[in-house]
Amino acid sequence: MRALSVPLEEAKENLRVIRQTMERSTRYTTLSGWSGVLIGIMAIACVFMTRAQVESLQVQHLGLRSGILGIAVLWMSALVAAVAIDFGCNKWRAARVGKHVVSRLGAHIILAALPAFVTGAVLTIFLFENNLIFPIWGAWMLCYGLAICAVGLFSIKPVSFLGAAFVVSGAVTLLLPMPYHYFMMGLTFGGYHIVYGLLMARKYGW
Amino acid sequence: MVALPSYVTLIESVDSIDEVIHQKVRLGIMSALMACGEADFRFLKEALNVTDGNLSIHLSKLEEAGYVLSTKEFVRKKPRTTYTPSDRGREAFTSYLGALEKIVQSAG
Repeated sequence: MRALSVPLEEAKENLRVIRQTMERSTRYTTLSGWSGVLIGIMAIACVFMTRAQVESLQVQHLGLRSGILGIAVLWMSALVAAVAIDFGCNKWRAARVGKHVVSRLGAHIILAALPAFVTGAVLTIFLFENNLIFPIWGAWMLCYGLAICAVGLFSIKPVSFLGAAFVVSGAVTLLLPMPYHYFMMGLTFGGYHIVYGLLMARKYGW
Repeated sequence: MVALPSYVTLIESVDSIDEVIHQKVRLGIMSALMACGEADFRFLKEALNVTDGNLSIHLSKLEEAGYVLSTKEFVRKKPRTTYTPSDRGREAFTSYLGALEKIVQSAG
């Protein structure tokens, strides 16, 4: 009976190795360093444009609410552009490493991130309708961070760290006075993406 | 006490284990290739956490057995070798998986 238990334990162990290796191998590995850098630069540009818009509203003695729609459209456009940049760069990189960027795994990733993005949109509308403009930036960081954390479940660890950084920064932003929110937007959507892109490029290539 | 039919199934399953695949690194290579369909040397090295030499030896054994096919090309003047499981390799891996499952099932 002792001799029969050896192949049994070995079989269980080998099945475990097979399962773990397959899980590890199907993780999202087509990430492009260029994607992070370009998205970060675009985000910093959006922060400057946002600040200019807000200062223009203040000069005209108009409240932030009157211009928030334009600012929201700016950042929603930036989000769409960021997704397009990310897809394009990853597709370019996927072809170089011999993989497909659109796959069943990619579909799972989109589904995982979608709830957080939808929540962000709903929160934005709620905060705007109730004239609570102040927390919008922090809420965006929190929701974006949650989306990235969800993507991180299917990907490498740095993606999860990026998501966690956004969540923590979003929480911190909500506690800071309004003038610091521009800095936090630039630091997170700009700086974090650029640093992440450079780290990805260094580890996995452009 | 193990019932006779299960005992016989267990012995038969153990005897049918493919010794080429039945090695930790080679099993990992076949698992990774079956999951991805295709992978290069660097990807396999990172996924399996083995040295260059170790990986090369086991890839050679799998190629000799006809379980893995390799394609060599140059990408930006750098050599790149891509590995895919052959049809024979896929069948062998599927059979190996079946044998493992029979061993586990026959033990109750």
